[in-house]
Amino acid sequence: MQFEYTPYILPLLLAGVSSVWVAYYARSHRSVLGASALTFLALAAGIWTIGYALEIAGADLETKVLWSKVQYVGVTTVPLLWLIFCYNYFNQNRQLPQRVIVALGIVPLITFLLVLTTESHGWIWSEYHVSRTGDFSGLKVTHGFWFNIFWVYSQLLVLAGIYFILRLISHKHGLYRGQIVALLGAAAVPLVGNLLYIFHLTPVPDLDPTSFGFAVAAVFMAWGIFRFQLMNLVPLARDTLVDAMEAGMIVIDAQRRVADINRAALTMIGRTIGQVIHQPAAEVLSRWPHLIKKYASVIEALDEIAIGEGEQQRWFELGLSPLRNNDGTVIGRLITLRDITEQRRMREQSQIQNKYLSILHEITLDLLNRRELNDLLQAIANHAADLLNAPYGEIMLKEGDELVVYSFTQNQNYLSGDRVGRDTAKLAWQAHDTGQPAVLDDYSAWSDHRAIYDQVHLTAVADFPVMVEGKCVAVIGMGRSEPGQVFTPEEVQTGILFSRLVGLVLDSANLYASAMREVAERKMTEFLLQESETRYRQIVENADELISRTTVEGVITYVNPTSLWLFGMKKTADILGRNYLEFVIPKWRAKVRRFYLRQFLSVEPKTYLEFPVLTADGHERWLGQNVQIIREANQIVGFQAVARDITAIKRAQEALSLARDQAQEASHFKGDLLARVSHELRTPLAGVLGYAELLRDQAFGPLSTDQMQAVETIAESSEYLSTVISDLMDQAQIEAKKLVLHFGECSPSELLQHLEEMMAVLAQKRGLTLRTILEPDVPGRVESDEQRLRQILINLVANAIKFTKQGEVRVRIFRPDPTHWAMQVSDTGVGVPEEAQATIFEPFQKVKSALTRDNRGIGLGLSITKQLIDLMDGQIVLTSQVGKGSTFLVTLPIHKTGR
Amino acid sequence: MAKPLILIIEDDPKLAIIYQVTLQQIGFDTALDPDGNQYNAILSRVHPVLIILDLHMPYASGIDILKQIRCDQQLMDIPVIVATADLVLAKSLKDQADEVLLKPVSVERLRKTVLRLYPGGM
Repeated sequence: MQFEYTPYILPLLLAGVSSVWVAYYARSHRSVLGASALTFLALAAGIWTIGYALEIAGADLETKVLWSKVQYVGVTTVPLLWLIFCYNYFNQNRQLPQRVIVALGIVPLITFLLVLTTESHGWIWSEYHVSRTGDFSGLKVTHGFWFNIFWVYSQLLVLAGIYFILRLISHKHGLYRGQIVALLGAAAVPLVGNLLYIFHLTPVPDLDPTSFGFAVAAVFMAWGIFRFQLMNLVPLARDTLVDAMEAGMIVIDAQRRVADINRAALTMIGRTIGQVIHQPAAEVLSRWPHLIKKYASVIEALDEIAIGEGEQQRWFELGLSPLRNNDGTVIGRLITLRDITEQRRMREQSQIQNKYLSILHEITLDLLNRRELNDLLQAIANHAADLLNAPYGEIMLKEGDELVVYSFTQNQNYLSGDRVGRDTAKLAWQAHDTGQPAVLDDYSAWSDHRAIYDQVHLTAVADFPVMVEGKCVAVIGMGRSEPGQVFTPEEVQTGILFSRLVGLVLDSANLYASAMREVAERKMTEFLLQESETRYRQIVENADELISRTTVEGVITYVNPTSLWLFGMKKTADILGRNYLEFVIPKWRAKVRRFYLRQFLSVEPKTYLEFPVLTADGHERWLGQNVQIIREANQIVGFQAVARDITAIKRAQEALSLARDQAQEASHFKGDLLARVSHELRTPLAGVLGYAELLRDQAFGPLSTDQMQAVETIAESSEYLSTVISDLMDQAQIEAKKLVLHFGECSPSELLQHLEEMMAVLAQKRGLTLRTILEPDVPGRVESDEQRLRQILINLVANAIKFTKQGEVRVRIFRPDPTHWAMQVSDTGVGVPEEAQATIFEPFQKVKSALTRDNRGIGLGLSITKQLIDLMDGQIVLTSQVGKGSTFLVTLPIHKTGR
Repeated sequence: MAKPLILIIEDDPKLAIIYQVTLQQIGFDTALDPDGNQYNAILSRVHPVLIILDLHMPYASGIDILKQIRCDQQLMDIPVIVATADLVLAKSLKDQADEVLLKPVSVERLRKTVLRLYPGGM
């Protein structure tokens, strides 16, 4: 392989290197659509060019043929790659399908294979030889038939690529034109060179200028790349973004012509692209001269502008910003237009609503301050009219089956006292019944209109129901008389809000009214109280009783007229300030004083005392006086007395009591005698017993055994005598019916305990066991006379001990039935013979039988026991067997019976 | 320290002696009003811890004395034992007196009662 230098190879090599550089650049931007195709295209062109340079530089035929064949790698692929690139880059972001590429690649592939084997068939080159012209030597070939087929095929592919570029150029403008021009230039130069070569029009014979074309094309490419950023901004991206934008966009160049405009902007200004591109902005926007005037010299702005009139009017946000080139000089302006009609409408609506709300707020405060119903209703009518810009306002309250006009704006005086039933004010009743506002655009033309309103010729009217707790309590009516001024939905909405507010206010006014009523009621109570005080005073003044008050010390602070009259005084001043004792008969004073002193000291709330007093004229009169303590803050501050003149009664009583005393004296003589005898017996007995005990206790010195026995006997005998006296007294009292039981709460368990304390020692002395049993079902408390219960039990147990020589005495308390309890005393003693059992409970029974040492007593014990049990409404039953023992069963009610 | 003192109002000197001996045995001093008219004078000098009171006395009523004691703010807190032979009055005074003992009063009973009402003795 031999080469020789020729100057033609320099531009070729340059073009080749440029192509490779373009390939490299495109590859580094392969994310851009079409960049891969451009990479291969530039690479193929590079191979073509460099291959041709080496062919020219080849010194012999073999070298030239070899490199000529190498060129064909580029020759066969460039047209197809060109088409792929154009299609991908300019055709709506779509890629040429792979199967199409494969199909289109068949011819180039066959061509290349034929090139490699052309010596054998001559389809590409039928003849070839080295031809020299000056210092240029090329491979002179005569093309075979296939080459011509391939050539036509190649031109078709190139033209197809150009078609896609031209198709795009038809609706492209402004910025992207430069890119397209650059590409077309790059495509055209090699094409023209190829045509010159094919038709042998080159200045140097056999020199193929196509490759030189590639050198020029590389320059175009570089220009396109650097000047128009061919690889950085794909025209379609702009289409997609800018045209798809909802906002309108207009680019105005330095000459104030429209350089670019998107679809949205075209729609806004209502023109087509052909009518505006490259036209002066002033002309394009001639419909809005004020805009041109306003922004002619403004570079940057943000404003809201209205376009159109009336219903068609739309609002836009106008943005104006400068477009600068790399060195910062302004090369144009970008106008953006955003349709904000809807936002603006909503904003306005909310402003209106806010205005209404703030008015409502003020009204609320105003209404809440009005406490008088008529005043409040008048304010409601006025506010309603003001709020909805309706000159006529009224408010009707529901009263039974009628709506009654309570208040109205001053221009509707004819409504004064208007009451309407269902058949008259149908619109108001409709609002009442439905709970919804009733609105009419022209009231005077309505078939059911009321003549009363014809005076002002109402047109638009709206009636709003006022609801309180779900019930319509009032209707607010509003009216206008200007034709055409209907109530808008927004106004109706405001009216609804207002009527709700009125509902709340009326409700609270109602609460207030009821509070006021309560205050009035309280005042009434106070008045009644005063009145009742007056009444009581009258009662006191006119009472038959003597009513008075004193201090704690007894100084009189008040007397009623009756008192004055009784004491024969003229004025209250004659009594007030004096001590009450001054009016008491002198010999009674100490007693009366003591009596009330005691009441004061013992804080007895109420007492009654009868005593004689002295009147002014010296007469004695008897008073029966109730005295109550007056307390203030837990302290006694005085006495209040209500007294009655009992002089007459007292006289009668005295006479009566004399007779009664005499009778009583006789009847009580027996009882009194017994009591006195008892007392007189007991007193010396106390001395006997006391001294005997002191002696026994050796209080007066030691005693001998005999002396001790004697003293014991004295003590025992006197104790016995004491019980005999007690029994006699009881019996006497029972017979005189003077024995009174003192009922109270008694504990059966304590009763047994007391019994043991009293009797256990005695039983022990006699060598007996005293056993007590308390059954668990016996109540803890029974209602009885504890003292007498003890007496009964001790009597029975003492008897049992007395008549038992050996064994035990058993006391059992149990509950025979739910309403009774029982004491059972059993012994293992001698028993009671059957004939004696019948009379054993009669008094003095033992007296009849012989007194023995073992069996002493006057026989009152069992008799008294039975009588006590009878008084307690109980029963005593004896069961006995001679020699075996006796059982006394006492059954008593748990609760005191009515007797 | 002085022994606690018990005032005895009893017109029967025999019984008064029995009370005095019994009480002294259990560590009390005694003061005696022998007719029911001197207790005021005694009370102005001494402060008894307990009073034993007879009801029937020739020139005084034990009931009146009891009431006076109960109404006197200085005295109302002193426990009073009524010792009487009057069965009827004994019952009716149950609530006013701290204890009512029916004569003849057993010495043992008296001791127990006094020590119950004034545990500060012996």
